[in-house]
Amino acid sequence: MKKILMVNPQLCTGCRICELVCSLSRDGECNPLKSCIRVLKLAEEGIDIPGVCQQCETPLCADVCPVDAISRDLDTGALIIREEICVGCRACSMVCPYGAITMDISKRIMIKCDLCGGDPKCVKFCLTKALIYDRPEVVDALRQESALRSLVRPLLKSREKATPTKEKKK
Amino acid sequence: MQVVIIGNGVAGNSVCSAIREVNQRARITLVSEELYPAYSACVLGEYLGGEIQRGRVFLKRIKDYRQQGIRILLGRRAIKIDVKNRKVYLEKKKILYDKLIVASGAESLIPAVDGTTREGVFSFKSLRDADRILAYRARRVVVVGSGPIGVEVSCALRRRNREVYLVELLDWVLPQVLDQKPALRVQRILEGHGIKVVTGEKVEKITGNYRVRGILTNKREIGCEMVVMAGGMRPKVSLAREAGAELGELGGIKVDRRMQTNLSGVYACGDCAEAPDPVSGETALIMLWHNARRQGMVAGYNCAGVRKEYPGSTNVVNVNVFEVPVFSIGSPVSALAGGGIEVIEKDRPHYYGRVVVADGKIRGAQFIGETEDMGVLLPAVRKRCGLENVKKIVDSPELLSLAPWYHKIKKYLT
Ligand SMILES: Cc1cc2nc3c(=O)[nH]c(=O)nc-3n(C[C@H](O)[C@H](O)[C@H](O)COP(=O)(O)OP(=O)(O)OC[C@H]3O[C@@H](n4cnc5c(N)ncnc54)[C@H](O)[C@@H]3O)c2cc1C
Repeated sequence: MKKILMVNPQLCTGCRICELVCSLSRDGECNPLKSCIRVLKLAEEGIDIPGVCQQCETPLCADVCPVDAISRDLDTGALIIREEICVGCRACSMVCPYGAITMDISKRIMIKCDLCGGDPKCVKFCLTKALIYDRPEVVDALRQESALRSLVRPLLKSREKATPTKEKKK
Repeated sequence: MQVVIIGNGVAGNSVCSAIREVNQRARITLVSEELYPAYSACVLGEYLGGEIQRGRVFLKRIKDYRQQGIRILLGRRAIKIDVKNRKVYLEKKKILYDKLIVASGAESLIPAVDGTTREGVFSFKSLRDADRILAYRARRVVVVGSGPIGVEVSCALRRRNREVYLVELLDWVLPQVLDQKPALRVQRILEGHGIKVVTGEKVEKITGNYRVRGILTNKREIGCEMVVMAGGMRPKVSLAREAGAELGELGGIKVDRRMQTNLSGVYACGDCAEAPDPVSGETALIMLWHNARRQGMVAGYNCAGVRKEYPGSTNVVNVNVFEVPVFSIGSPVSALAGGGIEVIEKDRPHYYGRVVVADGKIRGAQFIGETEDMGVLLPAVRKRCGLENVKKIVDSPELLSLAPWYHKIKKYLT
């Protein structure tokens, strides 16, 4: 099975190094606007959420593309936008359920994560392991754990008042 | 196995790709009355407006068909299907099939008004139409119908410095796609670029002797050298109907979730087909590129013996109005019957957004200017999710961290 890229917002500190290395490796420029991964900061809630393409199994972006510029890379499983074909119509970005496709304003073409050909730079440089690139079964296990953790968190919080905290970071 | 596909659009070509993915040996013949290898109708507007070169509309070259092992017959029209003997008749030829796929697409709806056969009257469906419009000398153009195609043609011809009138029968532009308020905003953009928009007027006649001289509406006369009829599309079904294919209520060829018609060994897909929609329980005819493509894939897999079901069509329309993106998903208020309709509206100088809720369920959304995050709403509209459920996700940090992308639509829902 191919590896997949997973985001764990609970571990993200919002340092945004992923945005910088992404744009740097793609375009030779540290410019978050040219990054395919974007960290969303929810100031009030105090959460940071990296958003990146999930390489859907049945991708609507590829279906709406009027010029067939989006196709699957058979080695990595990533959905790739071919620059020379893209006409920058934005259709893909409008239907992406994750908001993970954006326009490179200077080139007027759409950009999205291509998993760096199987060696995603954002993952490499992520200091807190909020980004994981691994086999689906590993990622699934992590996802499950993190889901359960966040569901029981309110419960733990309510107990916190009674007993000192036992929650530890793994 | 001998597969014959009628139609060289996105549906027909997706059938080819799907079959080839699972079966290298099937003999595939693709018939098209058009002369060109596959191209994208969706970017014809960009070509007409001079934003992209003609060559970029093509999706395949002749040699790509050869590489896929597909026999392609261009410029050949299928005129009859003999279901009993499994034969398709072309003008001077007949082809035997085991499986037949009808992907004959759609055709422009030409209203029954006087003068539509005059020289200078065009429709805008094919590459040939675009070429002919470009080659025709005209200073002033009237575009009849302001659906997405009418709006695209108007923008394109305006970019080419033609004087453009856009005439709409109903009360506002993009009437099937937008409600009145966002439509007025689009109209202002069009007018800001010099297009003269006329709504609520019916074209009654195209005047002129041999060539177009103008049009008459119920209220006025507009002189022009060219008329582009953009009053809508309808599924092209005559060939299949004559062979005994059952049609649906909406006028498309009726198919099941595997894209099979009522005729044995005959499938239909793309703009000509009317497929069941598991969400509404009814059939739907949403003639859009992505639906045609998915239906083609499903038809291809099934005819190659791999069972797949069509999940239903998605209604997403995007129109680029002079670099301002206009986006609509699901139904506008005007298309929803009954009460219990609520509109959540955001009217800002740089963008406009509205989410349409009916009986507590998210049913549609329309956005102008800022559209990149709207895809997040798409699954909600498709599945008719309850507004309260979606709000619950966006309001809870715990749930949000599991589905973080929902945050992007929070500001539109409150
Ligand atoms: C100007 C324009 C802009 C559009 N923009 C968009 C957009 O932005 N987004 C979007 O989603 N959709 C858009 N659409 C709609 C989209 O293009 C269609 O949904 C899609 O092309 C349908 O594909 P199809 O394969 O079903 O049919 P078609 O593309 O219509 O192909 C039908 C094929 O059948 C052939 N054929 C028909 N009858 C016969 C016969 N008897 N014998 C032989 N061959 C036959 C024709 O030659 C043709 O090759 C647009 C359409 C137009 C016209």
